[in-house]
Amino acid sequence: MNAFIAYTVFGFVTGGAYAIAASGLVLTYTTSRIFNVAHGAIGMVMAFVFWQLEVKSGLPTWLSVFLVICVIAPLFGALVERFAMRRLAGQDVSVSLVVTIGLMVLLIGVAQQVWPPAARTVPAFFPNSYVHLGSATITGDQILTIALAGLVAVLLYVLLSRARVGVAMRAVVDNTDLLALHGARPNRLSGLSWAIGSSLAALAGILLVTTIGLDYYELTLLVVSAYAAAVLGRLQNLTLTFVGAIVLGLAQSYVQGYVPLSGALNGLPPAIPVLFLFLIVVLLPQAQLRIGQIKGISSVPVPSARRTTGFGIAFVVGVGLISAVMLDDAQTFNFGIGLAYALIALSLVPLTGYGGYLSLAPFTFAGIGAVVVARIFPHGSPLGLVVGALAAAAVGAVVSLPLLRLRGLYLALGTIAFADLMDKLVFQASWAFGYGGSRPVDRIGLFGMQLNSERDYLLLIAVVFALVAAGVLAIRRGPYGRLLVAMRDSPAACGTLGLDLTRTRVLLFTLSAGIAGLGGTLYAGLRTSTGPADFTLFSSLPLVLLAVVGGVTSISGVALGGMLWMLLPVLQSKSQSLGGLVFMLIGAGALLLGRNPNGLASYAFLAGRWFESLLRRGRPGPPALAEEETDEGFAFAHGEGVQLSGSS
Amino acid sequence: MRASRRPVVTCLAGTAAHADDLRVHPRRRAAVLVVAACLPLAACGSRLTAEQQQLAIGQLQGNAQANGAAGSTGDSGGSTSARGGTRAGPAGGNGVSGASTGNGSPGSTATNGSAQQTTRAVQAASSCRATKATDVGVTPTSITLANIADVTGPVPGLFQSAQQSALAFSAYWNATHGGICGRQIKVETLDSRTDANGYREQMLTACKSAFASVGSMSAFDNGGAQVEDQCGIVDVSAAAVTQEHQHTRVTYAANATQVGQVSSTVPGWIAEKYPQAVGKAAFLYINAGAAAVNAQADVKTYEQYGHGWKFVYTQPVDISTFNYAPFVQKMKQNGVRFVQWLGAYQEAVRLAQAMQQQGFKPDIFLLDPTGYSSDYVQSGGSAVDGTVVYLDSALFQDAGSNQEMATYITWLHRVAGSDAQPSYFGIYAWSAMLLFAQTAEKIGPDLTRAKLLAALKQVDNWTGNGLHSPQHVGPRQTPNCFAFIQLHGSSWSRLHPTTPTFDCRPDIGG
Repeated sequence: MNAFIAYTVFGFVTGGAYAIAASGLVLTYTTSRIFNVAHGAIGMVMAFVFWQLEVKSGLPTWLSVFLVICVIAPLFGALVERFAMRRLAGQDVSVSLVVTIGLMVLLIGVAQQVWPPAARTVPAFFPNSYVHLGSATITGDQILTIALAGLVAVLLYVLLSRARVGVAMRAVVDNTDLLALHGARPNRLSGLSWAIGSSLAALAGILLVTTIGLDYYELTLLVVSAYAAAVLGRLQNLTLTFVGAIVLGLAQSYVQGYVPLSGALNGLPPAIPVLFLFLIVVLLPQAQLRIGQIKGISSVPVPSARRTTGFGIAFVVGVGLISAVMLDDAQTFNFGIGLAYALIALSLVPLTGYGGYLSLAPFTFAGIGAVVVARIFPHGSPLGLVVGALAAAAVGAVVSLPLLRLRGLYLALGTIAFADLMDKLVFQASWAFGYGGSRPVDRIGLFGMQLNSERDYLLLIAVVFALVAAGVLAIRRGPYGRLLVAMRDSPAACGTLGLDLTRTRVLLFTLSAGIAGLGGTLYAGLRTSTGPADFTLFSSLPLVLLAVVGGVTSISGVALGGMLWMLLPVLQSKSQSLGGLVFMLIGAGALLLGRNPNGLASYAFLAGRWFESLLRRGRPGPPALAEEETDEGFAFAHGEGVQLSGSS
Repeated sequence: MRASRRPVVTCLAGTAAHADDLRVHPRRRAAVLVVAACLPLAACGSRLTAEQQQLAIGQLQGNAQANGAAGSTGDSGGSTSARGGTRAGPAGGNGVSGASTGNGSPGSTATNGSAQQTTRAVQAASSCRATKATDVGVTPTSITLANIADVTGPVPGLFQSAQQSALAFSAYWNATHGGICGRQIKVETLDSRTDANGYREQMLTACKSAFASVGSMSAFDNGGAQVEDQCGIVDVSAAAVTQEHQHTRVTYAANATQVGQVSSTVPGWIAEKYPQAVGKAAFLYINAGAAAVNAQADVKTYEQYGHGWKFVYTQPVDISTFNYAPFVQKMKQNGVRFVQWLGAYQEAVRLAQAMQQQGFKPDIFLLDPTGYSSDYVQSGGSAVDGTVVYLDSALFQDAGSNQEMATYITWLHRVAGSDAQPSYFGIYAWSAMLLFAQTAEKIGPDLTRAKLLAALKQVDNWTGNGLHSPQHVGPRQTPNCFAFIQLHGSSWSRLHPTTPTFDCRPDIGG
């Protein structure tokens, strides 16, 4: 009985931490329809600020808490809303999620710069204060965490459902124009909701810092575990969120205490939150179809088959020439890594760019391909590429089935859960990446030639990338591609026309997973060694961010994203200022997504078209034949898109 | 951002009993070579500057105290450690703030320098004079060595101490020995970015421009294993972390610990000292990469060793877990009396704090050298008091009696600034450089990778001139000598042996 009481107490402590983190997420989503992936990172930065004030500067604890929670954090939240989030209103979830991912990456980078690694401690609020419950001891700080978690839930409930300002905050996302007509100030209300959300993140950071410590990643990881609690409450019901968080904490504690664990099951307790998340999103009531409206998105022009072939050949030749003339082995290797990332990111073009489904697990599918190669074809058989891609595709098909009904944020969260489950339960298993945590992989041989040199393998990746890109564009030009776009714009209309959306979606996930898996097999071969650390959820997030910033609706955009992901640490290593510049470019690109969801590549296309039109001016003769089509089926020689009216 | 790449680095290391066990006393030999080098230089019209001679003589006379090497604090850059799971050593291995009163008599590894040694060094050096380029990175006047270490990445400065040590050693050796056979040592510092891709990239660079990779330290060194195997660059790492790196044909690390190989010294001494506790043992470890593998190997090997060892609780801990209280409760339920942790020092602190909060005090809380860290002491406060660490290196506070430790610390401060902290991996990086320098001098002016490789294969019981326990560099076997130190307050004292030596027992496999 004593042990049961102890595990219950520990469960409440864990659940309390989840509850505080989840409450802030729910508030932000309820009042802005933006799921703030950076919530934990905000809490982390505020925890460092708290340390700076209380420990480094010697301010009294009460003053430090007041300044962080009531001044600095809300101000930060308001600024984030003003300069980053305001433009995201009404945007697709892929854009808003990616911007918050960008914010998370930025905050972690800033924290590392401002507070370089060192031992830092924050004294407990109630040191030497314990309560004994049976054989368990609970500290004063832990009691405070649980109590505040409940209090926060109650206060938020009162704010959002009873207080005038809270109701107005919820109304901002329902109908901003109507709210403004009633005399409210939507921008100010939006800023207020982000300010409160930021304060809650700061509260979580300060309360948990004595348990977790001042660490750049721990709080971010904790918030991922809190997603399940937030989703249980449908991202709006605070009572359910609180209950869900406590249940999660208790479940982890009881499993730890009473379930005999060994082997692969050792990863079960930490996997419980994401397992919950996966089950919750899958078992949610069917998402309502968006009816009566068509939301068209102006996309980049799609090159013709002739242009695609020309670009593909020029690309491969260009890669070969650059590598032979300008790059040494080390640089060639890096180029290959960038292209491998680009190939993995290419999986997002049909799925996210055309179909409008955001997946945050491209590296997970890449990892499946890599595992197959590492375990079954480690000696460089080309068959490994095919089997690895097929294995990833098969997993993608299976995973897509429970996620079929989901769209938008819930689909993204489902992919997060899948990726984290793979991290914790599969990739770490001895039958996956095996002994020592990494496995050697030989480079493949083709037509009797062993592609051992960096240059040869780079060319292989370039050829595969060009072929897959051509295939993706061919799909886009064909009936399946038009179906994808139509499905993205109006699933209801497609359903009305009798189109089989289920098969379309399954095929789409399968295709995307297969491309990512193929990228993973080539990545493993390029590295000649691969392990679970290469394919975590936190590897996928920045790649998705950069692919979307580069332009997930185009091949060039994801290629840019992949190369940026390779370049960023290389430049940072060479020069802090160079790395900072690239960071700023990414940050600017993320902000520009609000204006143009087609990413940076679309601006390059516009520039290209403009230049082309300059060249054509003054040439006599008939108008040039259009060589591209847009999503809307019109042919534009100059790449101008059409925005159809309507809203989601 | 590479959030996923936070490897765990832990270490098992052997110890050297006495410097006399060495076939060749490295310090005397180095002195002979320095003196020998001075003669032909003088004869050819070039000579060590007066300052360099002064420094050389000062070093050889063991002038450590004057250089103020005692009581240095450790490097904090690498102490946040890694999560990929390796066995080669603790991340960062911080020194200890504040010199504690060691129990040891002047270390048997200390050398007594003298002008006589300087003369012998100069005389020996005169017979070693390079006249031509003999291999990649070797010219008549210089030898280029690559040092690849994790400097940037998710844990900035993780193994920067290894690079600082390499640079410090090259400055020291060039100043006091005139280089190697007249060739100045040049260190090309390369950043592996805490990333296997980064390590491979830098190894590709090193293969083309450097003679050898020396004193390197990277958490994901598997990335470069195939490259160095193919190009043949000799790799005298501070420590080889992954199995793939350890198994290349060219890697001979100063810290020779091998993944999965276990020494009997730790279970042997613990069983002697705490015979009642070993039957109720618990092993907790970070569930990532080789840490998981090594922990499982330890558990299995300890129990195979017998002497009452029985693990009643084994617990892998996910990096996202923050509440350790359930683990402590389980240990209480199982009557655990011995607790060992394998992972980063931050998690060790978390476990210690959870144990303190729950009123659970095992007979012994054991850490690998990760715990020998000022960051661990500072972060843990009273919760970590009484922690026992098994260690395969000399203590930083031994600098007063350990000549090589004093030299390392002195030159580290001279080259990297007075803020630079000596560290566990800094020690092994310095040791790797020393091993390279001495071996290269033995080979003479006709230095090639093949000859260096052949010579390294013969090196055994390498102590880095008293910096650490004997390492089986050539045989590439996990060393089997350790010391045990215990934390009291904020200072460490020797638990066993009580003198600055090590306890050596045979390996028991893994």
